[in-house]
Amino acid sequence: MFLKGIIKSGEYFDSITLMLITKSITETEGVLEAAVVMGTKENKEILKHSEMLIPEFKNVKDTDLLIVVKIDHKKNTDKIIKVAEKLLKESKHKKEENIDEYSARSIEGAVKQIPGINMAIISVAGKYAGDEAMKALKNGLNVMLFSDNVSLKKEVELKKYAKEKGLLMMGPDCGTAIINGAPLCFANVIKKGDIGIVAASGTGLQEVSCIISKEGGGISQAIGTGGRDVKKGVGGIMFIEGIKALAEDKETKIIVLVSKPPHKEVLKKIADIIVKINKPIVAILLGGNSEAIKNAGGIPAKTLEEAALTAVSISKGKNIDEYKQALKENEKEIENLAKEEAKKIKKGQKYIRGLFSGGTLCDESQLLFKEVIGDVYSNAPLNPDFRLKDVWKSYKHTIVDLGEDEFTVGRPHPMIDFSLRNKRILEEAKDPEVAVILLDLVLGYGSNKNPDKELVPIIKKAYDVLEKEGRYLSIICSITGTDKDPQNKKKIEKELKKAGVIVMKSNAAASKLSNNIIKIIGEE
Amino acid sequence: MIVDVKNYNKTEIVSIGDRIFQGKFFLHSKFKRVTNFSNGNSVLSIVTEEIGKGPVNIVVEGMDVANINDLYISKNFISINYKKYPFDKRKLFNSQIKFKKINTNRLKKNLIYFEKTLLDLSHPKSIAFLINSDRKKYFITAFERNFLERIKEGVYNIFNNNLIYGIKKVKGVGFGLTPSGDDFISGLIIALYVFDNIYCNNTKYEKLRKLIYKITKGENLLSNSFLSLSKDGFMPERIKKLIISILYESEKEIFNQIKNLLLIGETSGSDLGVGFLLTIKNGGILCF
Repeated sequence: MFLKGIIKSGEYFDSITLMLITKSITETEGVLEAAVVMGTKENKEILKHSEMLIPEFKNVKDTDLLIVVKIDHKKNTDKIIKVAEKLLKESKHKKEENIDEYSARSIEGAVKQIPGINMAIISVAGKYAGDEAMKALKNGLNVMLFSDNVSLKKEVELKKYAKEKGLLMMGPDCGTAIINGAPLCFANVIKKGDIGIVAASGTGLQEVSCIISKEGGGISQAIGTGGRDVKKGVGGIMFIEGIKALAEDKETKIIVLVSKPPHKEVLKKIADIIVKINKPIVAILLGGNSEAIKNAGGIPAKTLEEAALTAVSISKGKNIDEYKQALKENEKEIENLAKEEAKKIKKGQKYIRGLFSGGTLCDESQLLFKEVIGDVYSNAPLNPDFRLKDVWKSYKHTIVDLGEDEFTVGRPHPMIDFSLRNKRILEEAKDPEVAVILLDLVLGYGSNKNPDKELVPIIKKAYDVLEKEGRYLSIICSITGTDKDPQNKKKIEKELKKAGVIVMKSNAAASKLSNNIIKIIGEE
Repeated sequence: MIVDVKNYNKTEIVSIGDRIFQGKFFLHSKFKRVTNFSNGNSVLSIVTEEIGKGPVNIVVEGMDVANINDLYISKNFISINYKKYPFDKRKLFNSQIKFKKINTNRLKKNLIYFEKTLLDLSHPKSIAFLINSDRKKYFITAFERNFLERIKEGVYNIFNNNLIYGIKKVKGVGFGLTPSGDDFISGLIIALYVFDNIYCNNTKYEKLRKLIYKITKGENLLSNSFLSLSKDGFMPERIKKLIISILYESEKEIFNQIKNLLLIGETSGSDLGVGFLLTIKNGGILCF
């Protein structure tokens, strides 16, 4: 065992950065222990206590940064120190990217620097985001506005201006889009094809596009609008413009609309435009009025999966009743699987606990649950009477959206940071009244890069707890993603199954299986 | 006109801290939203509006804070990167709390809520393990485990008649530029200041605050500056608003202010909050 340390003067980092660097160094092959800390006398005392203090640190100052590694073989020393220095440099580079190298300081500058660009992705504090978006539109750029906290007034102003200029104004609060084959922000690697999507729901768009891709279909364009677009205040300006754009797009043969229920005036506008378009339009307006869509000549779907399968059937020139048959067969399989699972669950276990990272997936699950069992408690309930009093504790049947504000303060979104959900999985597993834990897992760009490494150990721990207590519960999960995503859906699915998770084809299927189990054990 | 292009690139000073002093400063350290300057003894910070007002903060709008390299302050103007801005006294931020009569029952209830919410929202690697031992599991490496034990020992001593030994154990301990231990002590000092003002009114704790500052003061200018201001009740707006919410306002407001405090994303806010909470709880035995 060897100790090696280096001192960096005038290098300043916040505590979280240093902890993350320490974690990365510790995970390097050959490293037994690592510490990256400021050189205070007191920190040196802790290093001494940890048997990691080296003589070179004797005269360092409070403001010096110390890096020390405990390693297995002396021969690895240089390599590991280089890794540590690289991590620091990368972190510093990330912090100071606007200082060290030239980058455009303004949208005008970027337009001059890269002739021909036609899209801007904007992610700055909401207060400034609206003005930046307007600047981009005035420079002739289509805009994807990732930021939220943009005022309604500003959103309407931006969208009206974009409409007038024939530009796309996706967002604010637009997290997902696929434009000309390029996945933007939180999106997946999807096959190219003839199905165009307009979505006022990020994870809804991801779920639909991933199922389309898996079933052999492909996406021409997927336009996000931001969830507020279909509300009364915005009046569906960009949703309608998105439909028109896809109607005119030669590559698009089928249009899929994805949204939570639009305001009735917006729904009327959507129906009015559907009537005029000579392309098949499939619509999933979760929990919304499907009659208006049907009467306008659109094809309403009940779930995100159904919308995707319908679109693929049409794209492949098949009779759309074929997918209905396939779904019926799936449902039979789900019923049989539910019976098998219910047998393993003890008396007294009766509740479902859904822990979601995707807001739309959480809504879809609640809707499906409502059909079979009734309303469930949530931090984002369909029925306001079922709002959880304490969002940190489940009550009876509970399905929570961990992406809501109350859970994300000071933390990255749960699609990136699993720590909160992992903690909750263990808590639910310890509850003797829980029969089913339902999860979603959203892959793709922007999401956690190694979801299996974070989730599998927790699942194993949960099963250990259950084994000790002589109980079993069903842990059911759907994966929104593709095999070509950076995480590789196939690999993740294999790891989860190995850990004992029941992985279903879609969020709808996972929710239906959960419902069936709860229904069966409730009837017994 | 859809957007006011004329004023779009306007740069201005939004707020000037009430403890800002005159002189020529040299660059101390840079972060994305903060650039720190020093004259060798004290620190001043140029910050974005997201970081917010503070006793030694100059809050600016429309400037790339990370590209500021020069600061000079005179009686009449503030020069940033050689561009002069008037020293507008209307923009002075009052960083002290104006205390009013306390409703003890509400304060007790608010403290319970503060503890629960702080625990729910704080970063796993903050020193919130002092209020919930389940958090120990997040401290994995040998350094982290020894850090945890040292903080625990120090804090136990602080509240069990061995204050000086405890402070010495806690100070300077932690990872980043402002160590967690120093942030905890800042919270402690602020709590003592609050006590003085809401209950004792005889500056009972003033000497104690000075003593703690003297013991804690080290080579870290940022920590020294923050501790020194805390001991006299000068605090950043986020902390001031949080304390006001705990003393006088509703749970909803406390929730919002905790969120604000922790939004910066590091452990400092949580660590300071834990120091404040534990001191108020322990001090409560003496004063309530």
